[in-house]
Amino acid sequence: MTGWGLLRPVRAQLLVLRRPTVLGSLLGLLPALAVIATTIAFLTADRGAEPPARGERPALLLSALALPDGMTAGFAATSSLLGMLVLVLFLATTAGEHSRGTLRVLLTREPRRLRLLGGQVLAVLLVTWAALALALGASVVAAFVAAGLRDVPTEAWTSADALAAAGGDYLRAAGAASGYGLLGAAIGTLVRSVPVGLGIGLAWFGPFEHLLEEAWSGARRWFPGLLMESVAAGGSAASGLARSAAVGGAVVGVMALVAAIDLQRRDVLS
Amino acid sequence: MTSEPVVQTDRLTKAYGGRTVVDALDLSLPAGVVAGFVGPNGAGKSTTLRMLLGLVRPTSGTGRVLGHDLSRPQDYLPDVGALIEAPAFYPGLSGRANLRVLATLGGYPAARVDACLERVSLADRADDAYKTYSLGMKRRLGIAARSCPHRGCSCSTRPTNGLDPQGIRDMRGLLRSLADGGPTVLVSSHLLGEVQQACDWLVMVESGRLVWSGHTADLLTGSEVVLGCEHSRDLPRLEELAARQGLQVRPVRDRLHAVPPSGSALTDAVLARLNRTASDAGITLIELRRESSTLEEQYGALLADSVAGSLR
Repeated sequence: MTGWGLLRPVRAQLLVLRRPTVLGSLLGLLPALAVIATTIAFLTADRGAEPPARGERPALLLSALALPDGMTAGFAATSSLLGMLVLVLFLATTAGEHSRGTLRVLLTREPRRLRLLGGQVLAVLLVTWAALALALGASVVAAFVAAGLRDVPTEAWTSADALAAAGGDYLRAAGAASGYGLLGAAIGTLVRSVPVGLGIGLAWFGPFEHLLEEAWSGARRWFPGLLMESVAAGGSAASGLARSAAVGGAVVGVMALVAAIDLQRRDVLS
Repeated sequence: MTSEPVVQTDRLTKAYGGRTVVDALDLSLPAGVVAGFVGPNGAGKSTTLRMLLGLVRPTSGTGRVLGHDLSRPQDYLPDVGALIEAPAFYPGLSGRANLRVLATLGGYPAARVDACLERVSLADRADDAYKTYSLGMKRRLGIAARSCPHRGCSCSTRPTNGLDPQGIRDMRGLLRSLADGGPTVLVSSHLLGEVQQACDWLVMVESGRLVWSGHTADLLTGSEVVLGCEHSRDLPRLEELAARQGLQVRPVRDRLHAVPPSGSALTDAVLARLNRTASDAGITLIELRRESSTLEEQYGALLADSVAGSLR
């Protein structure tokens, strides 16, 4: 098979992803969420520097939004939410192939299972990265509009530092989304059922990890969802960016390996 | 027809835990036939097809499809069409888009998609979403997907399930036209009448084992002889003469129906000897006719023999 042959599963999956529901949810929903988050961030930002009342989360300051990284503050704040959406998409893509029965049809055209799965995952990643780029762009436009409404100076947003900050925000969001995506693909491949997979994925990466975080201080250092959140946020007090990326990547790698071995060895009966 | 079988298996076996689903199956399919794969539920038909398509890993045994080993399905699947169980496509994509996905994955030219759609008379609905198709249209799209790699072999299970009589007739024609193009077609079905009409080769399995394999005509033609004589008073004597030749005879109204013993064929020589013996005995035969049995009758008899054999 030629080098182009290796890309067949990617091209085939891109054709599958051209459905309005998929494109709408990714290329429409992600930018829309980024715009909403950006708008809320600017409209709720405080003018003063008064400390927050007891029990309140500290709000963003308008003065902080005027800094070079303020332009993409809204986009960065949505990264973990976007990650959950990506997890759902990947999970539904892989588990859906089993439950619909399309996997057996696809395998009669590309019997190399890992090549097929790898191509599908890469295609969804490409679309995800494109959707994140759109979300970033939409967020920047929203930030300029909202800055005008709140009289936030934007001179610093056109500097090289702002460009670097936006690039960093994008890379962290893309990295976290890729991690979430691969976790979703691994869960989908292992459980082979969209409802069951969603139940497991959303429960674990939603409430469970955060509840366990309250009870165990090491949770943010080891749990994959919290590590991905940390990557998206540029690191946390418990786990810096580099550590979060390394440990999170390792956890994702192990999950992906287990799913790949399972797919390779299992009989396709559905 | 080439000498090398398109599909050949040697003691192909699949077991799940302690349950053997396919048991040392030796299969050989020549090129260019429409082969019917028949057997009761749980006989191992679908599992065998899945092993041939690389979806299920054999527990033991070997096999070759289009000259390639079963362990390397990537070497032969590009030339094999497959429709396993119900058609499975992306409901939100059109029929054409679904076929394009498969064509892209298999590396087939996009132009072949249109030809396949034309072949199954779906061109006018090709751009409608798959989820809007009737059952018959879904089946036809499955056949179209299966016929895209139309070079070597085609496998499908129960292609006429759920179709109305017209749909069944259309499907029969489609299967035949597929084979006319060269490839071997292997069809698994419970509908024996359909198999008898559509298939010129039969593979019967029961409890994962091969019961019979060969040309449909060999199984169905001349399995019983009907004898009639000029005078009905001669019937008892004719019955005795036929029985002496080893035939199992039963009177049916004013005729005798005779079948050879199990494992023997009703050859021309047997009929000639019967005619001669009757003539020597002064009996004038007015009817000496081979009667074909239906596939259902033969299927029942072969399965009964197989079950009896396995109990012995």
